[in-house]
Amino acid sequence: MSQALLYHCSPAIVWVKDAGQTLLVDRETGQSWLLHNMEAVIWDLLIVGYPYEKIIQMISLVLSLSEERVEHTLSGVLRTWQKAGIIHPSG
Amino acid sequence: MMPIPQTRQGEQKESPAEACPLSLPSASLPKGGGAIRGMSAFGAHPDHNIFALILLSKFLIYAPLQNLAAIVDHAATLRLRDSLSSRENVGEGRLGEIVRIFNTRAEPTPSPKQGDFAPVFLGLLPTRSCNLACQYCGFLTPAESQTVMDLKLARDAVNWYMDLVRQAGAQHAEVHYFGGEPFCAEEVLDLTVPLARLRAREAGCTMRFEVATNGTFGQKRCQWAADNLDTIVLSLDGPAEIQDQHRPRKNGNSSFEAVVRNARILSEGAVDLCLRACVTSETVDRMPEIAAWFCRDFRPSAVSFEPVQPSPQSVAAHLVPPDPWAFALNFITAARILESHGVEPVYASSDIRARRVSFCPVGQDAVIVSPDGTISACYLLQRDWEAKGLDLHLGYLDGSAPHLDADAIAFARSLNVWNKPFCERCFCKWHCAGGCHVNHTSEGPPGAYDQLCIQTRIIALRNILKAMGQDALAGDWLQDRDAMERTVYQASDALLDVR
Repeated sequence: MSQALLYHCSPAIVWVKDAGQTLLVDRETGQSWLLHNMEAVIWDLLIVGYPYEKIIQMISLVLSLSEERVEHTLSGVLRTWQKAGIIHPSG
Repeated sequence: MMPIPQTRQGEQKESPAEACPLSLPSASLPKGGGAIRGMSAFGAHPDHNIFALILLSKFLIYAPLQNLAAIVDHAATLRLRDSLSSRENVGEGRLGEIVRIFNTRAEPTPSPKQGDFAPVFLGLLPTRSCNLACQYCGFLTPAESQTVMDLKLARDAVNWYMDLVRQAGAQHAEVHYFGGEPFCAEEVLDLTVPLARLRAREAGCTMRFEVATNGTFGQKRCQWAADNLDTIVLSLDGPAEIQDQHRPRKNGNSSFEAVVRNARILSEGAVDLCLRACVTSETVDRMPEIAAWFCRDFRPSAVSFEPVQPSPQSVAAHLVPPDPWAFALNFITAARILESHGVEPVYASSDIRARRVSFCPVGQDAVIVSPDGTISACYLLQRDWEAKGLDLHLGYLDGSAPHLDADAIAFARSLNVWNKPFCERCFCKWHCAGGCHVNHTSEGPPGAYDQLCIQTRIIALRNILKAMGQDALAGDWLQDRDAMERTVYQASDALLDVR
């Protein structure tokens, strides 16, 4: 992935947060996803505009995990969200 | 003048006193109580915690630690005084009931923090920098303002604090963000909020986040704040002509539209929105109008009005504090408007729910971590403490290891109302606790009240009367300046000193 890679969420996606969880809902299809733990943190960082590399650094600090391990998980989460139409690369 | 109500509905009119137990939630109640070592002796006499304030032709008997307030006449006041000093029996009836409450129902006397170091919250200063150039702001410090807290330091601060919370078995943890403008270093918030939340889950405690902000952030960041923070204290001084005079951007442009847009977004969310307006001599008469506008256009849970704090910047900008009488009277008018909309009016030193020994987190083991890793008891600037002869450093954070100075912690704990003899016989002493240790001087002969004391005493007394349901009496008192001055300038409020 490119260092400057940014993502934005689909205009159809809305979300609510509660008790550390984030519920995403596709307003057009009604499909929903419940994000916990690292996924919820990734979502927060992504929607305020952090690029891929910065998200890795931040999550590594939050979870005290190596950047390699975070990147492995992050790339998988982002692939899943892209396939589901939740996010799109934008930069 | 309207007759002062002697009784409440359904009570016998010949009763000399109207007692009203104040069922107020007590904030910051200390654990324990009892004898306090190493303190000045003034507060040790429990009878000095029972007050009598002359109120038109009557007296308000106020015993905050007994949650008791009563309106009585002069003769009844003297009998209560004598009963207190000589244990004279006043018999049954209303006065007997009041004396019984004096003697049996006291809460523990608020006491300074003792024992293990247990921070009431973690304060983070992500940066001292700011994108506004507020005309009264004393935080404009070019030398310090460019520093932004390193993310590893921010992580270490949260981990240290949450370790303390877990070790203490505390049920609740809080992180507060101060500035400068915290969102000028938003990465610190983006890192520490999820980290603290994660650590709170591990510790099995609840977590709360509060930020004091100028509210000029973008819409995405505003949505993040609404989603992730519990309380947002948003500075908005009034309509555009006031806001932009007081709080322009650094380039001189308006901040008004961005702040209003964000206040509207935050009004739609679950976050507790507290709008905070700084009041000057020029804007004091507009407080009611500002309160009405806040209620009409936003949905704050609270509105705070605070007089401008004099600084070299405010003096240069000709922004001076309001007359304390004008501030108090306009605050009360604004408070009635806010209360009619279900919004809490806040003037912090007049909060009669508070039972505290220190007005602020100083002395409560709060830890404020600066961008350079120093840990202090206060979020104000070091130069301001030093100008008052205070050193409020507690230590520093180096890696994950904190270096705390036990003597410094003991000194911070000693900054409390027990050591402010000026406050000894003031009825507000457990509510305002002498005010800010840095910006307010609690010295001088009894009754030499300054501006903060005057407005605090007026507003606190109105709050007590409101809690008693004595709005008409409060209205009469507030319309009689001579009567107000007799009350406000009373040198001692102690019941034992009534003549």
